[in-house]
Amino acid sequence: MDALCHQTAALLPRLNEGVGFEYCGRMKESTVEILLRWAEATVKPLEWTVSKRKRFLRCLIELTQNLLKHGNSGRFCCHISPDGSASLLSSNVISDEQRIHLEQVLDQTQSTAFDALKAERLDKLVNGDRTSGGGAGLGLMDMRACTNDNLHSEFIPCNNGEFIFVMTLSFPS
Amino acid sequence: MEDLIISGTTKTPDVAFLVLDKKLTLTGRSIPENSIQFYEPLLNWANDFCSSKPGHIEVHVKLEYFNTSSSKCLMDLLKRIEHCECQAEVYWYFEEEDEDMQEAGEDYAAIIQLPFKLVETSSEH
Repeated sequence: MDALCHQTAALLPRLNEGVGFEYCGRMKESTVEILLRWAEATVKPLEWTVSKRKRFLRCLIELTQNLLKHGNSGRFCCHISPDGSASLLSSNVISDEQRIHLEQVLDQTQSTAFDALKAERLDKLVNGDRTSGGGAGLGLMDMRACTNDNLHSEFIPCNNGEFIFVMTLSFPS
Repeated sequence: MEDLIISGTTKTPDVAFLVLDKKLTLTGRSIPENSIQFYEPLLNWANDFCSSKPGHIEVHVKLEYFNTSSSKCLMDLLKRIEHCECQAEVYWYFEEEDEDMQEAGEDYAAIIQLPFKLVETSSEH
């Protein structure tokens, strides 16, 4: 966990500019709930549109629930700049096997032209497999749409053939 | 058959499925980690209710927001009602300026072959 925190530190926005919080450790259902409450309290006083506020919170929910489902522990960062732009970052250690799977899912999601994303989302909504752990890949599509295609991911090699999977979402001011 | 009443939590909506009123209402937010677990009793209740050929029913969806796994479960619930031998109407509520929730209602309306009424509510923010 220390390595995870150290290696992703450079990717984090500067928390002394604007407001935000970060969490590093084991992700539990109660943690997700607390992070959501913090985020709601943070964005409530801001003069954001209803859409922007809800998109931001929906993405936060997807990211933190992904950490809960796919990683025992991880790092999550929420930051809002003075100009109203915002970012969310999640990172967790994954195996090489998980990396290969994730790269495939990300390629598939991001290879769809942004304009065609809605049709694909609707198709997944109707025909996609649903599991107790997720919504048939709809989460990534939704985050891509919510951020207007400002979703970035990377895999940072670390010890023992494992990788740190980092996902960053940006919301313009 | 009994009403299905479930109190809402920070992650799950209030559920009020009323037999005599023939009114199914979801209110709040739907962001559980395991949506299937939460929605399974709702789907089972809807199956039983539909079997009783209830006639005209109303479905009211008043969600602040929902996660993607809930969106699939909502689709399942509406599909079950669509295939029910009854005359169902869906009322989909969205907060003023919440274009995503409005669009989500329009998407469901395009897929589910039931009368859909989109109802704009005043912004709470």
